[in-house]
Amino acid sequence: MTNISLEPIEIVRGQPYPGAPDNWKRFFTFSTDHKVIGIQYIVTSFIFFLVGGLFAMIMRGELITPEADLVDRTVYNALFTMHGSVMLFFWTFPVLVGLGNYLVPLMIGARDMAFPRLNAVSFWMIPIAGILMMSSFLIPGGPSQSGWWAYPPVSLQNPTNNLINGQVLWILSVAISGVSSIMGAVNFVTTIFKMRAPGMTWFRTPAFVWSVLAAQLIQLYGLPSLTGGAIMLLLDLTAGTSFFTPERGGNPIVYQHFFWFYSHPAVYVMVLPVFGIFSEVLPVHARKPLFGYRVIAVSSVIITVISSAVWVHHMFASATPPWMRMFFMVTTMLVAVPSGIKVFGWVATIWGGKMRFTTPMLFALGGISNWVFAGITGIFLGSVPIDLHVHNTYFVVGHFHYVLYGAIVMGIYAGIYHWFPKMTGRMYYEGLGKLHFVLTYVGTALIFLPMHPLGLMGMPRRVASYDPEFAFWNVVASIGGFLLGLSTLPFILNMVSAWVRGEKVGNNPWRAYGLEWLTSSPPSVENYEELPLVISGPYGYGRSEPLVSNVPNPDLTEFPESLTPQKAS
Amino acid sequence: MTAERAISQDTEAAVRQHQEHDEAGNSKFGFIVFLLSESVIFLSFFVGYTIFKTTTTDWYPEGVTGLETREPLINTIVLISSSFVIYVAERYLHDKSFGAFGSFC
Repeated sequence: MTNISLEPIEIVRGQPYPGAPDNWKRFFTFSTDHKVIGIQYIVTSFIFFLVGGLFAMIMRGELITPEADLVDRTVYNALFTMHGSVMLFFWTFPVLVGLGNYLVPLMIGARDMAFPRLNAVSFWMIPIAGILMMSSFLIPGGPSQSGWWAYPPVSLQNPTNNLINGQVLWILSVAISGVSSIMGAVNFVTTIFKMRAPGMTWFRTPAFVWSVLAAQLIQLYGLPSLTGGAIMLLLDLTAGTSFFTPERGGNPIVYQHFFWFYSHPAVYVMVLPVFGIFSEVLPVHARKPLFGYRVIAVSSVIITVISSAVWVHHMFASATPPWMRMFFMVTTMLVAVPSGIKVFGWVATIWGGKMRFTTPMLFALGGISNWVFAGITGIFLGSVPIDLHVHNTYFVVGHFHYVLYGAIVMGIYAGIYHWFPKMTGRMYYEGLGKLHFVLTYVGTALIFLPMHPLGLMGMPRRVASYDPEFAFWNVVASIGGFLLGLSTLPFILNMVSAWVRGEKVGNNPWRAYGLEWLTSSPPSVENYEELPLVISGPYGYGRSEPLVSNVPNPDLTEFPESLTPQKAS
Repeated sequence: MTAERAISQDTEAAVRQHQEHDEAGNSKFGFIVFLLSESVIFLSFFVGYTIFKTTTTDWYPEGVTGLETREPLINTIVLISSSFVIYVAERYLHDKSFGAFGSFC
């Protein structure tokens, strides 16, 4: 009887199926491994982020002078429409789905997502839908010019009278990305409900997983409303129905209801995973357990519930009856309660902690500070009198960019830096990371802070030319915009060079406490040799109990002793 | 095929079997979640139609006087019976009786 060496199996286990490429080429295959798909999501959406940022910088270049001289007004309309659509549908949603894809199965001790092939399909729809939307630049009439919300009757104008026009391509592209999001949401919800490791009860599940679950539940109940509204808009545009066409008896306001019933909760879809990232990053770098972990976890789900009844605050100026304004003002302000609970928990987490100001920690702290500011201007906008005053001005633009860039993009950066050693096994360059943080934080303040005084002075949004009295703040904002464009360069340099030749730092460089740090970096295909048996809750900093009762990967030795049971005792 | 690869495929099969243990349960759960989500699309269609129908006095396009029912009724019957036929064909395919499957498909 021959002894066959078991060594080659170790190598083959690094691949999803025998013969699959085990190097960088696997990121260009139709892989079903959740970690490959996660990185595919992150990189693809980052490319769209750069495209959307380019649109933004052309707009800021246009707004340096009061006259519309750099680009034509119709081009400007197309630019802000495409900027908003690309940034939301092809950057923020997909990148967070990517981070969730990578981290959720690792954090709950699963070997993969519940439906790996469905996962791959929902990823590959993103580049297809993105290219479809970009292709509208090449057709006669150019892209949609009706803004990312595509309100009728503007979106129903169709000046070229072609069947294939920018608006139709926009609707189709949004519908495809919606299908992708729904499939992703089904996948996440099933994974989190059914595939948690033995012993991982709900209150042993990390806050990031809670927040991803809360966000994906919003996708499930909200997104169909946008899809339904978009299909009716498409029928109005192509088949001659009149759901939203006022001259044939339709009601354009109904579209606004359909749109915002999804698109306001969509903001929570984007911000909740970022809250989860904050909740994961802060305890690791402050060496303290997450303060009020259970309350922070449950407050995510409370936001899911409240967010289903806030959407009319976008329509205070859309002939909304007074009782409706009052009701939705109250519900909007209610969102501040769970968000405030979270901020309180984060501040209490770092209070008295042993802080390490690494790049992810800096981004998390910066993101939280921006979130507090954005939340306060959000309260302003939620109150009916102020909202009517600043409706459709730059105040609104400043507010939601503080949410989306100041809090969400900063949080995404924090997450990418924090889990970069897990994804690649190598450490990013700290100096470049800090440079990136400074540029991003200063740029964010420079570009989005001036928008608030501009809005209070009365500058309307979505204009290519403006009164000369607004010139000063617009120049400041444009400088900030170019600074933000510049800030992506150290990030790209950092990520690419660190992935190629960064310092190898082992499996748990942060000495973090969590299931994802119990496997190798980068994790092997099935994540764990045997499923971990969880015996205590997350964030056990300063506690002596181990996280698991078995050793999920027996051939890996370099873990902190507090994570796994010690053999001697 | 080399011996290593054969062994690796055996290991792989064992791992997959362990995983597929609960796959049927996952599929059922996921499909129910998907159906709940899809029902919201139809809810939004019904809401849109109801609002349109109740607030618009004369919503017929020009030259149309009433709602057609005959052709849509025939279409609906064809649609629903086709799903029944496909279901029967799928049952025959499941039992590997290909003749009956062919007659229904």
